[in-house]
Order: sequence, then C-alpha cells, then structure tokens
Amino acid sequence: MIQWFRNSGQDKALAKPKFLSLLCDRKTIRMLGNAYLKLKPEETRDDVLLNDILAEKPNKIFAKGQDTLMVESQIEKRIRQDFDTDNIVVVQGWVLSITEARQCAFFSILNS
Amino acid sequence: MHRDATQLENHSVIEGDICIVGAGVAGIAMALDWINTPYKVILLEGGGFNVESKMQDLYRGKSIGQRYYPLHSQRLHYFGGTSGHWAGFCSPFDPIDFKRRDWVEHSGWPIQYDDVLPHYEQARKVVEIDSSNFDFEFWRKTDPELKPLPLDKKVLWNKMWQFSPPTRFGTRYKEDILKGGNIFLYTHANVVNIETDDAVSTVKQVRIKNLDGKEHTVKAKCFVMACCAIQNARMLLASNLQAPKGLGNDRDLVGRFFMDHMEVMTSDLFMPFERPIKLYYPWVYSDTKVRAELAMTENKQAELRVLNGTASLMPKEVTSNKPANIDTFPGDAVATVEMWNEMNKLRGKENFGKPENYECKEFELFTRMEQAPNPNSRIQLDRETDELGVPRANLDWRLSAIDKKSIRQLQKIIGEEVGRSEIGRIRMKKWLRDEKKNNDWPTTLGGGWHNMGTTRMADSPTEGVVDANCKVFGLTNLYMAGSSCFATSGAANPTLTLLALTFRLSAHLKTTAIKNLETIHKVTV
Repeated sequence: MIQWFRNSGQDKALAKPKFLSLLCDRKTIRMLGNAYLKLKPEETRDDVLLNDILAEKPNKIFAKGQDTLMVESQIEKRIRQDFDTDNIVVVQGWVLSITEARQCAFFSILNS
Repeated sequence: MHRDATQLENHSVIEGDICIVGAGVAGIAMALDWINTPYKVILLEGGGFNVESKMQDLYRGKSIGQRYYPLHSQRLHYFGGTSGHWAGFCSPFDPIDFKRRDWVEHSGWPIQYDDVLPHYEQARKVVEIDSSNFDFEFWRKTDPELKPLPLDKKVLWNKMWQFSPPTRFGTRYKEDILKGGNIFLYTHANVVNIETDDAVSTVKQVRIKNLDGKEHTVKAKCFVMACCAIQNARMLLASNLQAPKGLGNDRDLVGRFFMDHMEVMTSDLFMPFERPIKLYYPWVYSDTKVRAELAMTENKQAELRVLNGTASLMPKEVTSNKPANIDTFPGDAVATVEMWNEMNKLRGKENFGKPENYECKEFELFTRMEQAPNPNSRIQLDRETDELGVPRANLDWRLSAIDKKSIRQLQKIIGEEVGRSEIGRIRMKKWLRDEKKNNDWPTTLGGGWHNMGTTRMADSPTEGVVDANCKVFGLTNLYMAGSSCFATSGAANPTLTLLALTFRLSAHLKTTAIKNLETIHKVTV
C-alpha cells in the first residue's frame, strides 16, 4: 500500500492537511510538522508517518488500490473521529487531530 | 428620609429596627424590599450622593499578591456603590456552582441552586433586564438571527447573558429610598466599629464617623453588612475591641477565600469561512440585549475534574490593539464615573461598536474562569489606618494550579469541538501551552473586579463565617449581604446572584428573624 502510494507519486497529496491548509500557509504547516516530530521523535521516518496516516491501527480502513480522492476523504473522516475520541495533540498551541498533525509532519519531511 | 451625618449634632444616637450598612447594590436592594413594612430601617452610606476622591481614598489598600486593580477605584464608595461604573452583565450561577465537587477543595454551599432560584426574579427586576429565563432556546425564539455554532450539547452549551441598561442604583432608586417612609438613609456615615455585648454574642451598636470629625452611634436589633466583600471582611476584622481576632473570626476565616474570576485572552480561533455570530458577538453598550458564551457542561466538568468557566468569541477586529483590562483600569474613580455618565448621555445617538453585520471568521477567545476557593487568597488588615482611624485592607490575591489547568482544558475542549464540527481550529496562547507550568500567570490576566468569598457561607463555623442564612456564626443578629458570602465564585458575574442572595436574606429576616424584632421600633408608615 505505502509502496503503491510512493510509486504513484501521490504521497505528497497525503502530506497536505486539507482543512488546516485553509487556515495556515505552507511555512506554518511545516513548522507544525517539525514541532510535532519533536514531540514524537519515534515517528520521524516518513514511512512510519505514512503508515500511521494510511493504516493506523485499529482503523485499518484503507485498501490497496483505492484512489487518492477516496483516501483523502477517509483521512478527513478519521480527523473528525480523532476530535470525537479525544485523539488530539497540542502542537505549538494548536489543538490538532493526531492524523492531521502527522500530515503536517509528513509535509515537513517532504519539504525539508 | 435622608440625613447627612455631617449635619447631625456630634455624638447623636440613631435607633432603628434593622441597620443596613452600605448603600450599594445589595444595601439598596434590601432597603427597597423593606419599604412599607412596619419596621424602621436605618440605611448607612459612607459616601454621599456623588463619587468623591476623598471617600474613595478610604478604600485604598495594598495589593501584595497576584496583580490586581487599584483597591481605591475598583469599588465605589457612594450612594449606589459600584453600580456607578457597572457594565451591566447579568447571568445566573449554574446548579454545579453550589454543589460539593470532590475535585474542587472547599467547594459546596450549604444551600443549593433551587434555594436561590426563586429570588432571581426579584433580582431581575431591580437590574431591569427583560426576563429571568436564561435558556438559549427561549431567546432564539425572540431573534432568529441568534444562530448557535453546531457544537455537541453534551460538551458545550450556550450560556446566556442579559444586559442591564446598566441600572445605576444611586440615581434609579434614590427617590424610592428617600420617599420610603420607614427608610432612614444617612450619608457620610462610615461604620468604624461594630460593638457587641460583653459575651460577644449580640451586636449592640455600630460606631459611625465622617471626615468632618463627627462621630455617632447607631443602635438596632439587627445589623446587615452590605459593604462589598473587601469592606465586609475589613469591618469584621477591625471590630476587635471585644473579640481580639475580630468579629466572627475565632477560627481565622474572615477575609480568607477571596475570589475573583480570572479574565484573560486564552486562544485564537480560526475559521476558514465567515459565519454569522450575532449570538456570540461581544457586548456593545446600549445595544446588546442578550448574547452567549461557550460553557462546559456539568458532566464534562466532572469528567475532566475542572472548574466552571466560559469563553467569549471576540472578533479580531474588535480585539486588535486592545490592551488588557488590567493594563487600562483607571485609578481615578471619579473620572470613570464621569466617563460612564457621558456615555449615558449619548445613548441612542452614538454607535458604540455595533457592526454592520455579524459575519466573522477570526477570533480571540476571552475566558472567564471560576477561581477555586483558596484559603491563602485573603484580605488582611494593614498597620496603616485610613483618615477615620480604621486599619486599611490589604489584598493578597492568590491563584491555584487547578485554575490554570481548567482554563487550558476549556480551550482543548473548544478545540476538539470546533475541530469535530469542522468549524475551525484553536491555537492556545503561549502562556497556556506548557502543561507543567500551572502556577505562573501572564501579566495580562486580570479579575473581573468581582470581589467574592471573604465571609463565606458554610454548614459550620469550622468551614466558614456565615450560615445558610448569611448570619455570622456565633452572633445572634449580625448578617452579611452580598458576594462576601459566596462559597464558590461560579463562572458568571456575581451581581445577579448576590442580589438573589440578598433578597433571600431579606425574606429570611422578614419571616424568621422578624419575631425578634417585634418588640422594638415599629414605625407608623
């Protein structure tokens, strides 16, 4: 699955937290991503992050071959679930869903 | 009837059935409630009918703890009291505010919300607001533009506020008091000592003085102190001729548990698109009748073990370059009252900030948080005395870790809710971010100049100063009126609740304590 995203070149799409991008510029998203990785250094590798974004247990909701739009939609759904289940993280004061914080982190790695 | 105590023959003796000390919001409200009763009511006011710097100076004191407002200007020492610079914010306490909460030390009142509830209607009338109904759905029917944010009602609710004109008690009720045949108002009558019998069980009289050097005595069967939280405690502590520690202070509780609300900017709220937020729009003088703040539900407070609090949505265009209240609060009370009077003249002619529309997308959140009762937050007497010879009151305002944790938790909860409902995202202010730092505060943090809790209500004298009827433990005829009796501070401004509590005390005195009054000065009205 991860390899499929990598090979298809669509991994960058997943590094863009859609809602947060309406509020923040690229510089802020990168800053948030770096700050998140300082909080969670064990997630610093991009494959770990991508794995968490795409297939975090216990919600293995993605299946190989799904198109990017569908995956983005699933990620948005998961972000809502994160907020609903207190699966949040405070990064530089921002109250973020874990999933979107990881997207920021992935973005910062891809754009470092 | 009114007499200026400076015009009385020196060493006059004034006698009545009930003596109310202080003609501020609580004192005037109580006096109004006794008009046309067959009892002679003595109403004592330290100041005159106009605010004066020399009278304000009697309130001067040191603030030695958390940064606070100047003590000589935050409360007004004249007929009408602090209503002279009141903004008019009214909202009742919530049921949880009266309950014992195992996560809030010293919480719990001996009375509950339902005991106070019947008296809110009477309070509503004197502050001239439209309804004692503060339910959001009630108000939505009056104005369809009051649209709520789509937040989970199990987590956050819309706590409604109404706005008094604001009622200036000194002007609004002056004629009622002066014409009240059984109300005897004495101005420039500062109580300097409360004197008891030898057993320190009954107050016999109070000694009053004024700046003209005259001294008089007031005798009554029942005394009600309605001087504000700081001055109520100060008078009990300073009345130490018969009780060396001060009246009602055998257990060193008088003056302790001083509380205010923490009021401070706490977060930014960013929305990608503008939304109509008339329901939440900040109060605009002479225009806003009703608005809402976001408040955490009782169940959520219990789950998270936090205090009660609310957050206001302040559009960035309103807060931009606006200094914190505590940085701008004037030390000149006279000028402040004059400013309000000028604003009043412009009512209906001037736009004090009403927007063209209520569409906004970027806000700061202004949080008003309950302060946890803290025995080390207190009023104490200074060695320095005022011009009348009474020791000045010093304030040591102290906050606790749970206060800051609760503010932070409220931001998180709002952050979760606006995230879940895809309204926006919250960014907490820097001073709130480090979860390990819960005892340091930003210089921008102020109170709401809501002084509360210095003669707190409790079940027993080991826990408080007054009983469930606001009577000082150990004294048969001394009562406290106002927010000094609050055991906890709640999330709402105290005015409406202190009035409800005052009317409850008034009803108690009429129905129960009146039996002890029937042998004395009945007046022909």
